[in-house]
Amino acid sequence: MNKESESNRRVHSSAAEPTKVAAASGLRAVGFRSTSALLISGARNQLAYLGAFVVKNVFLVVFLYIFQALWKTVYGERELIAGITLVQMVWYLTYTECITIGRSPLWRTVQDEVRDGTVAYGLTRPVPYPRLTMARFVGEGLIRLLPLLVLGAAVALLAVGPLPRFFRGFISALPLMAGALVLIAQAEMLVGLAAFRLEEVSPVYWIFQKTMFFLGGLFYPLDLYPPVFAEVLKWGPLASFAYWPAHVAVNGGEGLERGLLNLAVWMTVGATAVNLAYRRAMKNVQAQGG
Amino acid sequence: MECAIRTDGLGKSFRTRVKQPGLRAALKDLFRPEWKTVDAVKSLDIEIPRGEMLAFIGPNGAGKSTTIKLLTGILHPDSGDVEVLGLDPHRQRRQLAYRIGTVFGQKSQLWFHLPPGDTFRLLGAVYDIERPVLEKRIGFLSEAFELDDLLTVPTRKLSLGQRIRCEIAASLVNEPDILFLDEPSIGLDVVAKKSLRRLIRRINEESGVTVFLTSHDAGDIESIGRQALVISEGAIIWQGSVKDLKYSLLTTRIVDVKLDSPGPAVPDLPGVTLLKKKEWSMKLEVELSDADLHSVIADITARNAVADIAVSPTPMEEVIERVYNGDIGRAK
Repeated sequence: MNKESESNRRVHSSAAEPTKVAAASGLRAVGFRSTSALLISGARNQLAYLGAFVVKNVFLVVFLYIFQALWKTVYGERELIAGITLVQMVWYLTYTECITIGRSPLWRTVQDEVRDGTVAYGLTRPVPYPRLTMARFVGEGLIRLLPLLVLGAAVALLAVGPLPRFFRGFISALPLMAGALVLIAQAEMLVGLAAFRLEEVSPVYWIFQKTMFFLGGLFYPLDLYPPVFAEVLKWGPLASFAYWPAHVAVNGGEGLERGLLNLAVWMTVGATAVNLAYRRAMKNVQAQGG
Repeated sequence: MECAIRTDGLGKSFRTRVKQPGLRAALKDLFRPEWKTVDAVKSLDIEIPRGEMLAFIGPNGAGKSTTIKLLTGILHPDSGDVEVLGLDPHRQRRQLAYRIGTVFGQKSQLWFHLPPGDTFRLLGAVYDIERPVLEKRIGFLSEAFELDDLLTVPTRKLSLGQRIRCEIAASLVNEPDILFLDEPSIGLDVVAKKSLRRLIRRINEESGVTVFLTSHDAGDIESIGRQALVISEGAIIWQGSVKDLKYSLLTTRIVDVKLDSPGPAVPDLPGVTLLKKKEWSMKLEVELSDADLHSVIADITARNAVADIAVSPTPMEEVIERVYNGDIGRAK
């Protein structure tokens, strides 16, 4: 018997085996299971180059070293600045930097997929493209965040010593850090989808990034701004990108409720905005053929 | 017979921006953009029964991709009706998504750093397939597509041929009723192409999947398609069986003659054209509507010391080229 006929026979023997996929009979809610599978796949996908990623980001050590030296000079003999100790300040910076460096450039992926038409082909899947892409992004971000936090924590520990109530703060900040990745994913999805109108969205991303740096509390806590301005910023969406997770982490979990509220509100707004932008983008596909 | 795909007067047009050359035109374009409407698909009537293997062919820009996008719910039609598996692809897109599989040329659905087995399981979750059913399905696909050794190898380490096999298997995870294949064999070598075609035929035979294939590769069309549909400028210009496309549409045959002694004598008969002549061989084209093939062969053997003679239909590539050019088969 030749190879082909043998192979044919094997297929024949198993052809009766597969059961018709249950999902075909009716539409079930595709929600938690697909999203969690996408998150896990995103994380696993990232593991392939995790070592290279960490080596590439050794500059986090250099960055934190420079900034802790700068803050030490700024603090001098002072114990507190805007109610924040030097130890808290350096650990704050560690957290915000890890969140920022840990994320993948989702906006660029979306921009490229808008340009080459992949976004339109996503319509043949039961899971909408934004959810599929964002879940993957968050999964990748979570797995990158862990080694970065270990690296950052080591630098902060050597530079300024342990952070009081570290574990309590860290555990409390975990949902906020994960939420920050979701919120950043939503923002970057919006930037990427702008490619339907602008084709090249890197200038938009540049503005978004710089705004996040200064008004989202990446380089320093929002508490350093004048009180009224700081309060306005703390209610804004950018605060959930970096400020609230880091603030809660360095304050032993204080401010968690407010951080979660801020996150929930802006994640809802973000989801609505992504949904609207995606629908609008799909109208463009209809008009121009994808 | 039950219909897998049915369209009635299906039409779709797009607005595209006209960009004139030069700085002045570019500035004008900023304030007063110029648009033109392109009719990508014009009044398309298709009826494809379940289990069919259809080769949907046409030159670049003919409207093939737009038609596939209309059939899979990516685009909604401007005019006419479309029904795929009894569903309206655009209005019931998510329901349809569970029942179709797609392979779009170079657009991979496999995760680059993950082994195909992981992507299959991810797709299983996306299609909400229960775990035991999914594992059974993966087992079946692994056996049918001979993927046993590939399921645990990261996609980035697979050859193109192996990857395409996995791509097609991935598109079958949800056990679709229709498989849309858009240029599946692009870039593959001869052996990989052959194996791929065999697998697609087998899946059709085993599972009764309707195959909707677009390809520029004559080999794909010949070995996968049973029926063919030729589209040009958004309209169908020919439809029929692939056999007809090859044997009946062009009523010419190619006769290759090898000789035992040098100096071939060409038959002087109407309908016979000399294509190539060498010292020990010649190649003729016989137009069957003007010449009788038996008489031509009899004439050749009478006037030459024939060592070998072969009669073949016009190569598929040439038939397709002439259909595209509008030389033949303009009527449906």
